[in-house]
Amino acid sequence: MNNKYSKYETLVRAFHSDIYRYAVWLIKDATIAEDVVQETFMRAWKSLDSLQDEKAAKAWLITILRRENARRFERKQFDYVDDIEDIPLVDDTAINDGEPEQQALHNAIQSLSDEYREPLILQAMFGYSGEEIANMLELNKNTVMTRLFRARNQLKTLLADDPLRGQYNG
Amino acid sequence: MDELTFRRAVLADPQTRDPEVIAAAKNNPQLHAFWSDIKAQDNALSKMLNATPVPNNLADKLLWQNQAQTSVAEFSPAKRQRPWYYAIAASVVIGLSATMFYLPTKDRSILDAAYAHTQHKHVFEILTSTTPTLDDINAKLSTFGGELAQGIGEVLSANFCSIKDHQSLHLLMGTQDNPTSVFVLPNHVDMGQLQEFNEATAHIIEFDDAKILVLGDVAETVSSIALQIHQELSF
Repeated sequence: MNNKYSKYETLVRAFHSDIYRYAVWLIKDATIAEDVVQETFMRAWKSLDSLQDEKAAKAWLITILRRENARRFERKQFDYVDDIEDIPLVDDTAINDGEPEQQALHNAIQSLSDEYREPLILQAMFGYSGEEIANMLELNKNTVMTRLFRARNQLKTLLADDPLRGQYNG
Repeated sequence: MDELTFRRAVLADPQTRDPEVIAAAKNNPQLHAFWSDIKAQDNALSKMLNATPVPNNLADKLLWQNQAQTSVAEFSPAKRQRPWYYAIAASVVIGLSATMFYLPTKDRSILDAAYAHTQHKHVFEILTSTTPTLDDINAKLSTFGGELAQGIGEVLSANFCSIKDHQSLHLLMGTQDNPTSVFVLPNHVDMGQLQEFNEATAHIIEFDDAKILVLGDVAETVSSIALQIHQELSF
């Protein structure tokens, strides 16, 4: 038990920031993101014995977080079955206002669809390779590379059209 | 490599080290400029994503939540939901019910575990911790529902730890050469059969919502810190 707790504490302290940041960008709401992160780490505690390769711990946590987020949508669908539209909550308080260029980039990222935003964040935030992202998202590598290409292409177009844009107009 | 393939490759991975991409950029200034723009955009993106603010004490909150949930499952599987007025009644008597015991005899197992923790961990905790402020300590104490009214002297570190599977807040006080440990433990911790404990001097302070164990080598210091804790700490 003590060994398990020590392992868990190490995991929490090492990865909570990365997992929370990823959750904020995935979910677009800081409060919900924190709840999902808590559920993620509770789930991680319960299945800690299944984590054999500690080098893969972050990817393992990301996979758990994605599943917890999917469960949240399932519960939401059950709770609000009459809701037709899912209005995304863009939580600007989670991101510093920063310079106009940064705000434009923030807006552009948030406006990407999930299928493009998610692999892009995994690559830009953590430096994961196409193959690693493919494993996490349960897609083949070619699909991931195509989505990354399209994500950046859209990002480039969005930034070129954004009046707040500055330097990202290549 | 044709231009379309090049653009596709760098947009999919701006940090690519593909020799064909590198060679194409070297031979074509326009492609080189395009790649530089995409890299700049990617660096800005990475910087922005990784600058997302993280709530203070999120790690402590996660650890506490884990301990609280596992403790509930372990210690009170059939716990009934109490009415709200129990909480008010409990809060009224907290100030009156804090009791302090001198310990010529103590729970051997908890004390042994706490003592072993001080022997193995205190140097590490001091070296790896920044000196906590009163706000830092109170933020961690809040996970137990506690608050210090004012400072209680030199606190070298404040870290969560596990004592015989019980989540605890461990404060190291005094000097680095002769630190005294203060463990905040959940109130459900069973101190068990009290026995003689020779290795160190210890006090236990019992509040309604927590138990405090003060453990050190010098009896006078332990007594003094226990008195301060008793006066300044509330739950």
